[in-house]
Parts: sequence; C-alpha cells; structure tokens
Amino acid sequence: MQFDRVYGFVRFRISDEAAAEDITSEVFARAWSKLRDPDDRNAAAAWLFTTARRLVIDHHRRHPSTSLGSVAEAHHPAGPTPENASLAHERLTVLRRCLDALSERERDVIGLRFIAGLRNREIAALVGTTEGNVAKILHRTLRKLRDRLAADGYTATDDLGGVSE
Amino acid sequence: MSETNSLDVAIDRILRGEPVSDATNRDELQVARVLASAVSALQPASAARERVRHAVRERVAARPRVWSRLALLTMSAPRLRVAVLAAVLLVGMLVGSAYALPVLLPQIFSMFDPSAVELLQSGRARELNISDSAAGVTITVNRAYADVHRIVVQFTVENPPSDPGQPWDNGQQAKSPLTTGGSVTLTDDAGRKYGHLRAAESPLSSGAAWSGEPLVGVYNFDATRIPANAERVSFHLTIAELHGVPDAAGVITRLPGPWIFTFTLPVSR
Repeated sequence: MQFDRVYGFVRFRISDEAAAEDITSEVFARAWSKLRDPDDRNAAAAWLFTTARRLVIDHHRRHPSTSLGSVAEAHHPAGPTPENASLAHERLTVLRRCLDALSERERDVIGLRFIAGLRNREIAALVGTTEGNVAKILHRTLRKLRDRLAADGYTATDDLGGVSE
Repeated sequence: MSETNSLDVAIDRILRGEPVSDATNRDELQVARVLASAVSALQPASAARERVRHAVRERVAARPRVWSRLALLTMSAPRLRVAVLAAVLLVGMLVGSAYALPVLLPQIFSMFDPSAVELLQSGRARELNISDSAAGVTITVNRAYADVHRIVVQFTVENPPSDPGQPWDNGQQAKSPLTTGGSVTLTDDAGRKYGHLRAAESPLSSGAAWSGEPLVGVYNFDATRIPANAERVSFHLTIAELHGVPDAAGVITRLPGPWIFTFTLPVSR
C-alpha cells in the first residue's frame, strides 16, 4: 500500500511523529489534486516519493537543529508481538543515531530501498542517477553504517539482527 | 555477478524474509537485516493512519480547486507531447493574430482555464495595477473582471525573496516553490464573501525544483452572491500569507501579510 510506504519513508527520515504525519498528509493532499492518473502505479509512486523527499528536505531546512537521533521516539504498536515490536523499535532508534553520519542522498537511497521497498532502477529515476550508481551508493552506505554501528559498540552477532547463514 | 549486483539480489531476498548466504557482502548484509527488521517500527499505527486520512481530507477541502489535475511532470509522454503542442499552437495563434494582446500569462494558465485567460487578455478586464507591500514583499493586482457568474483576478508577487536554494542531486540547487497556500480571499463592501471556483499559481508548487521566477496567480471566484441589480461592486482582495519564503539563514518559513487590495469593478451582464 502506497500510504504505508510513503509514511514509512517519511518516518524513517524524520523522527518527529507529528511532523511525519503532517508531511504525509500534505503529500497525499497534493496528490489528490495533482495526479492526473492515480491508477498509473509507477507514475504515482514516482510522484509521491519525489514530493515526499522535497517536503522532508524543506522540513529539515525549517528545523535545522533537529538531528535525526535527537528526538524522543514515539512507540508504535508494530509487529506481530510486543517483543518483536520492541526489538524493531530499538533497532530503529540505534539506526537513527547512525544515520547522522550519512549524506542526504545516502539516507534517501537507504530509505527508498529498505523502507519504501523501491528497486534500484526506480530509485535511480527519483534521485537522478544511474541504476549502477544507486547500487554503488547502497554498497558504500551499508558499509558506512556497519562501521558506525561497530564504532558504537555493536558487533556482528549482537541483538541488531545477527547472522542467519 | 558483480559484487553490487550480488548485494542487490541478497537485499531483495532479505526484504522478502528469505535466508541469504553471501560471504562476499557479509558485513553489508548484516546491516541490511537490521534495516529490514526496523521496517515494522515505521508502519503507521491505526490512530496515525486515521489522523493522516483526516488531515488529507481537511487539506483537500481547504484548497481552492486548482486547474491542477495537470501535473505535467506526471503526464505520460504522448499526453505531454499533446499538451506542449497545444500550448505552442495557442501561443502561435495569439502571436499571429491581428489582435495580438499585450497581456502575457504563463502558458500553464491557458492549458487549464483558457476562458479566464481569454477574459484577462481580451481587454474586457479592468487594468488595476494596484500594489500593496508587507514584510518587504510587494504584490500587485494587475487586472480583474466581474460578471454575474464569476470574478477573475490576476496578481503578481513583484519581488519574491531571494532563495539561494539548497544542494540537491548532481550539483543542482533546488529552490522552494513560493505559493500563497490558498490564503487568497475576496469580499465586498457589504461583507459578502466570494468562494473560489478555480485558482492556479505559476510556478506550481508541485514538489519539483523551482527556477525562481515571480509568482503569478489567477483566481476565479463564484459571483453568484453579487446582488442581482448591482452595476458596480467594491471588492476587497486579501492575500493572508506567502509560503516557501527563505529567511536570512535560508530556512523556509511562512511570511505573514496581509496584502490587501480594494478595487471597484463594473458587473458585466
């Protein structure tokens, strides 16, 4: 569902829940009047995420002192069990601290790939680069996040996901 | 398979919840698992979903109906070609006409309310050119027209605040689109309020990068509240605020007005 993907992406980029709701509602209000053919899923997704990215950037410009990790997290009753929800929430909190080390573009690419679930070619069209370059950015960013997590004291097999091979 | 392709395939499998074995990208995939496992924390709770739905409904209801089921950016290529061709033909007809008109409006208006553009360009609209300034920004109401069906007003933000833009992809500077945010209202001396029929501003705040040209608005109000026998009406147009204005630090803010204009128009019948 596009709503969940857009909301998730905005929420990933902005830890303030109220602001994320505000931006998501603005995205869909604009979509209501701007999208000529909302049934064209590809065009609609591209438009929605382009608008969401622009509004997120505007938000960060209006609130430059609000770092990604500095806002208290709101609890969501997410996940099939309270334990899973709590774990997912804890991982998100740790991740947000690490996101400060990334550039805007790297955060966008990570959010669009993992949270919005877009393919590399779709992300490439959104951020104005090639599919190959998106793959490189992903690779580089995951490595950077890994280094940052390690610097924060998290190891490969701890509660941040573990190794399932 | 290259290292990045292999990683992409593995990420797909992780997002689908399938097991992955990739020794080459082991470290990256551990982080990928962390990211994938955090997704559930980003799903909207039912209360949040309802709040957003409500907010969307309110925002849509509060906005004037814009010509804006236009979205050039989202048009399919054939539609876009037809739209561009139509705009070129329209301009060609105007330029080639023996009655070439001095009033030029962004082509985008012609595409979405040609009758309003025709009115404003036909000489039937009253040239007003009255300005008001607030917070260092001057807005001019260029011309307006009234009949028993509608009142059409065109205005221009003469000196939009400079916006250096913000770094964006490929070294581009993206500027924030300037808009009135639908804060334009029309009343008359008797206190009657005229609702929006249509409205459009150019450039549109479509989320696309904006090149910085002045904001032009064409607003179309419902004239059914004009008294049946009125020959002239004294109107008050108010623009309450501008959105998307950068302050000295480059932070995007709202600029409170108001900009208020009073003018009298004959009512065409």
